[in-house]
Amino acid sequence: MTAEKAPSAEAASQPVQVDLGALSHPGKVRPSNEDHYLVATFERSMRTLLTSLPEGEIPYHYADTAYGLLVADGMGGAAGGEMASRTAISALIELVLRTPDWIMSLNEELAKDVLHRLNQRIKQAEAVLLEKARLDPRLMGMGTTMTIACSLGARLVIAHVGDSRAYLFRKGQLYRLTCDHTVAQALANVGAIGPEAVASHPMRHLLTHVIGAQGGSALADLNCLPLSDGDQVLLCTDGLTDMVEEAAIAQSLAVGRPAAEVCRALAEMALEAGGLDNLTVLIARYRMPQ
Amino acid sequence: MKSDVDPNEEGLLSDAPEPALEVPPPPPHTLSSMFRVELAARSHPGREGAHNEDHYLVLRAERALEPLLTNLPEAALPCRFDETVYGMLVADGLGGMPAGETASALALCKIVEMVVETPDWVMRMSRLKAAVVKRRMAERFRRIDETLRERADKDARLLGMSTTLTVACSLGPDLFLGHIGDSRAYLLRGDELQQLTRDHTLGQALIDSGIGEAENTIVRGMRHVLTAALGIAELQAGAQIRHLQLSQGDQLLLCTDGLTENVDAATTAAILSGAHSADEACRELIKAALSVSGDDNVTVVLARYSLPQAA
Repeated sequence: MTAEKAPSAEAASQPVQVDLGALSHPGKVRPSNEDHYLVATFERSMRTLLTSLPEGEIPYHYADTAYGLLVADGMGGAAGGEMASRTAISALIELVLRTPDWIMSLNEELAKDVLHRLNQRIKQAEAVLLEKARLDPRLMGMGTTMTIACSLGARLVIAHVGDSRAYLFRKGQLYRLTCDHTVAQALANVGAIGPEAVASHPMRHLLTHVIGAQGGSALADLNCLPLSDGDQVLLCTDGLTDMVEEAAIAQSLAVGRPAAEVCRALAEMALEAGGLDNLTVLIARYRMPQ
Repeated sequence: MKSDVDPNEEGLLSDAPEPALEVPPPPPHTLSSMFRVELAARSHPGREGAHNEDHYLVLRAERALEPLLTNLPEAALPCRFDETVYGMLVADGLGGMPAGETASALALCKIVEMVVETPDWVMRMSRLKAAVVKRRMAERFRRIDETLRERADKDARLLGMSTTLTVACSLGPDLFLGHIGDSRAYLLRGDELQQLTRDHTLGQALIDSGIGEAENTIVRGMRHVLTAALGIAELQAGAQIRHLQLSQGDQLLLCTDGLTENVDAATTAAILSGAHSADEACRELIKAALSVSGDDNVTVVLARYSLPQAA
């Protein structure tokens, strides 16, 4: 009688290790926190339960893990902002759970599919927000930014609406991965104002793209890039970047402390500088042993 | 000001405009992970010292979303995040030693390899995805056939190696079957034992074309002659692919002909009904087969399904 299992080394697509940290704070001025965030793993796995195959013929356990980071900065009246950011994220999760076939590894073709799906989901999340606002007049006009970064193996996909941000810190350099969807930035993009004027422009918080609000402007930027060993990905709401200079963010990341620690340090800097808005920061540090 | 509208309320999401969701909004408790499946499997070479050219494999695939860090309130996240799929496979190798043993093992290994290579496992059902699953299964059978012939070309000892293959894959109540050869899949529902696969044998072809009944001597003589298997170029390797719905209490049995040659349907049904556990049923089936004859390898894989109660 044979009923042996076939144990052998775990076979995963790419051995990526990720150190994650996240923190959100209402700041020193705002009465409530209208930022929401989520850091989650998506895993698929296969395990041999029973077999008569000889040992070592097939992997006993196989697993693939993807990492998702989302920030959402809500706006719109007393209850609207908090409701908007929270609803958008939970609608997105619901849509992901209903998707029959998660894509768990990427090539160029599949990356396009993933970005297309993210784009569709953002639109569907907006529909949920608009419907909620329609049913409850206190929520009328509520909206939210959303910045999503999702890593599958050594590739990162980004979907982005609004003025929250995603950064990449690689080999001592900080790179901004997203473009702010604000009026001030739009003016700079067409050359009406200089890039250095954006940070102090009166319309630097006026959103050109948002999920919800009047509807129809949830136009997401989509991006895909390869990750390397040592890369750090940072997502944040403008409550951080309005208070802390990019140079200081880069310096904190350069020290190489664990993600949770750096999140705390950055939050403290923002609060010390005034904490004028809700702030949220997420950090993912990637190790890819060769 | 608190709003107690639940963001996960079905009505809101199902009213979302185009692009349409493929999956209609399900009731909250139909996640495939909530189906209890009891599994057992046994294989016996038959005679003392005989080689076992049968192989079996039982797999469980899972997907899960795990929130690690968040400031979302608990109510904003759904309560279950995982889906589960079970795979059961039997293969009966042909072609003498070492070919038969190699063929059946290779078929199973190749399937695992192809599944791992597939980036987007279907782990939740919809009509569109059911078609994808069936198409993939047919494609995988074709590629195993190709692999077996390529391997045999390189190694004279493996000349003519081939194998039957019967695959069952269950995702919640959805059952997919892929089959070629004369191994079998049965479903015990209530008292009734239904054969889910059709043998690819000359005997079965004679019965199907109305030329003879099953008890007919000539038909019986032809029941071992395969008309299709994986690995033999001249046979038309057309796999049977089926999609069925499981019910509460269903028992799914996969077996090689070492069982069905020696144990009739009534006895099989009785053993499946009477056994207290899937493992006991497998032991009893093997015992019943060996008590008649040890001429062939005998393999059984059994899954007993318990569906969650509707709310």
